[in-house]
Amino acid sequence: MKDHDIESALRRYRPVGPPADLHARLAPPRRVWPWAAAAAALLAVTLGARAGIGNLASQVPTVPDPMAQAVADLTQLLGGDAPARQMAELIIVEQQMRQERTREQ
Amino acid sequence: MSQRGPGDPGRLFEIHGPALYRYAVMLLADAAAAEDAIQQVFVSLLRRPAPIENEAHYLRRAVRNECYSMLRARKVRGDSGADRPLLEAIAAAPVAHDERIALEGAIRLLPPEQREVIHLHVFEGWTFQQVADASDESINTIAARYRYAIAKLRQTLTSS
Repeated sequence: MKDHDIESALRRYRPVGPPADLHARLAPPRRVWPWAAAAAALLAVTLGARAGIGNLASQVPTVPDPMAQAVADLTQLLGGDAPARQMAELIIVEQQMRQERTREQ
Repeated sequence: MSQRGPGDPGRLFEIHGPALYRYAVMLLADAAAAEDAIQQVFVSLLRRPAPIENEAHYLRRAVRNECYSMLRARKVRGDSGADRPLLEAIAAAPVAHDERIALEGAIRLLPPEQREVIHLHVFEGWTFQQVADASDESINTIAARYRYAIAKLRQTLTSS
């Protein structure tokens, strides 16, 4: 067996690659974006208020909400009933999230 | 804080991780210890305040330092890697199972410095000058290590 034979034998191989889970162990957990958390909270509050505390909500002084007019307008466009309002809220929240994402990029 | 920026370990691993892992496997002759070394290096990136200028060079040097530190601290057990292979066949090459086992056994008997030269020169295709520059040694030293390594491999393989 000559040096050339040893080199030829080595060249038929390479060191083993990393196990599949090593990359996952190194990647840190992804951050939950603040706008996503805020949007989720807004949606939860909106749906909660609609479900159980409708009368109470009418007694609480309303805070001006820049999204409220957009939701009201879209609700009218979609038919003006309760399902239309729910759909409008979802659309506006999603739109807001998309705008936040664009701004962060 | 998000880590999808330039110093993100996940992104850097996607680019450099596989090659560095193979390098660590050969330096340590132990796949499990190589995982520890790579994990140590990439996790340490999270603590770096400044971005890395030359990622490939920095990471190669960091893995090399970590591996030699582990070897000096005897964190690498001599027999721990025996249950996990060091080598895998290149797809197109016809190989025999016994040949791989014999080569791995012979490689494990080499000193780390000789395994490093074999890896960089044979498996990564570096010139002796490139290996010398990366390891702060003279080209004569690197060439001598390579000759000794091949001679030792030949001796082990012919006697087995």
